Amino acid sequence: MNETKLKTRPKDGATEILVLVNHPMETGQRVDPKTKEKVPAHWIQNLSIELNGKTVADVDMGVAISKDPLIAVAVKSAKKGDKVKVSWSDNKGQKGGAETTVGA
Amino acid sequence: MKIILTMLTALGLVGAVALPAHADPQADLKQFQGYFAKKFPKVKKDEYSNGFYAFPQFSDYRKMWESYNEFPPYELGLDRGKAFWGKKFANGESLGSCLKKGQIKPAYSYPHWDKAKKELRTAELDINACLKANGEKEFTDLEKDMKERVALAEVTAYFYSMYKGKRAKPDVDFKDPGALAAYEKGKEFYWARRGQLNFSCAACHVQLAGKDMGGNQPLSAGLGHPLGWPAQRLEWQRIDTIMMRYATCNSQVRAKPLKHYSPEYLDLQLYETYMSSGLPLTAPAMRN
Amino acid sequence: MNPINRRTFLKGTVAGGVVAVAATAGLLKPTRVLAAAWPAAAFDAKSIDDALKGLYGSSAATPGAITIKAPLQAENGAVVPIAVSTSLPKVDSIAILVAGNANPLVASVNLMNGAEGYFSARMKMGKTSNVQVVARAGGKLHTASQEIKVTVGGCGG
Repeated sequence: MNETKLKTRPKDGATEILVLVNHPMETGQRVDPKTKEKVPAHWIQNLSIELNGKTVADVDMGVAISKDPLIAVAVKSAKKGDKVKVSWSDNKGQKGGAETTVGA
Repeated sequence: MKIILTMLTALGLVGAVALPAHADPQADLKQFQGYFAKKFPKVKKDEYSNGFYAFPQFSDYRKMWESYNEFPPYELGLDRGKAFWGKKFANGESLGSCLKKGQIKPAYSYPHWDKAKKELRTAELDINACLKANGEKEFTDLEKDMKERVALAEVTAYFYSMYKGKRAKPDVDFKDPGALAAYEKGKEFYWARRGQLNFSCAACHVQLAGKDMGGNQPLSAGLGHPLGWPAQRLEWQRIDTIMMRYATCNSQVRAKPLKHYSPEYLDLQLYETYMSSGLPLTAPAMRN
Repeated sequence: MNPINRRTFLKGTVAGGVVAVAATAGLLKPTRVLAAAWPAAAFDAKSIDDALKGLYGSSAATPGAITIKAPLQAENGAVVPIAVSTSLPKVDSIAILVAGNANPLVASVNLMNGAEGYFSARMKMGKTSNVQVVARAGGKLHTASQEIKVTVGGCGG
């Protein structure tokens, strides 16, 4: 199960939305020490962040994003209680996501 | 490593680390903590629990460390550890009930000298013992099975997280000859040279603490060293055990790595933790 | 989203017709009408120039107006934190590229509906390299860059 963690916090008068996803982000170049073969590339391709049902950020990422990706964006006028939702999908078709409210 | 060896030889540290001849843990503690206070007057004592990020000369690394801490990757492992900690055993007990009954001690009191068993206990050992005593599967094969070891590290990390900020106070009665002997062996291990590269722990973490080896390897102080463990290293990108760190550090000086809970490593953990008495626990922590 | 795809799409291809029907039927979520394919060409590009052309149709960018917060020397090349911010008005896209990586494009974000010109991530770098960030604001590209040193740690293990 790929956990997706979400948090928000105030930042310079705006609200920062931070996402941390449990994902291997394999580049396809790493050699498995046991099998001696390259571990196939497996990475999150798209991650999208919504505030109150509207997309605020749509991220496309490649294998050069670190393992257990951290992504953060900021929104100007978010209020306590506003709904934040993140959803992601990877190159193998696996999906994940999480929801929270601002100031939770 | 060649560059490092040349540097250390030039500094006269390879093959020339003096072995102090103290027999009094309390006196050792005063001297050890006093050494760092004198050498780095600007570093607040509590900061040593943060590894080399305590040093002002590494403030650039510290800025990045602070940015990791905004949403540290270890939170993922910590959540898994929390889930494991909260699981009820088949017999209705849990790790929490072992803690309540005193079979698992508060994190700040580890390593703990068990007078009855005449042995050192660490949090991992007591967590495993609790599982076994309640008919649950222990974590085993820790050297070879990374999944097992990381799962143990994660639940231990969760356990330690409940005591973050509490001050280290290993529960050891030095009047007990077995306890004192363990301490002395740990101290000896810390100061003894080993491996093809002939380093001691002290060479890097006492004499060279605060220096940047080869320009890309900042050296942390021995003071506060174990208090961030179990830790998540940038190098490993997972939470792992202090025993694993001891083993890999020994491998790096080309000394034979020892197994989890070998007496040498238990004694070492006691010595290091006792030398850090009074400093705050920071586990789990981000480390290099 | 890839603007080239969007333009072709909205010019009324057969697919456009299908989407219009589906949208009316409520089959498509309004937040992501165009299920744009992951921009493989941009991510597979071997040069910053080609990656930017793949993303934005052009690589011509004006230097300035962007702040990069990233280490001068990364403690570890596997997890390099980088934060990009700009106060340019109407920023709708930010991209991060690492010149020394085999495929320079690390990530790109399309920003909308009140999102600020800010994007933060942790990335892998294989070696010391110039890192370039691009922000699109009001249809124009702006850029800034910084070198990040990556050296193998002495006590990696």
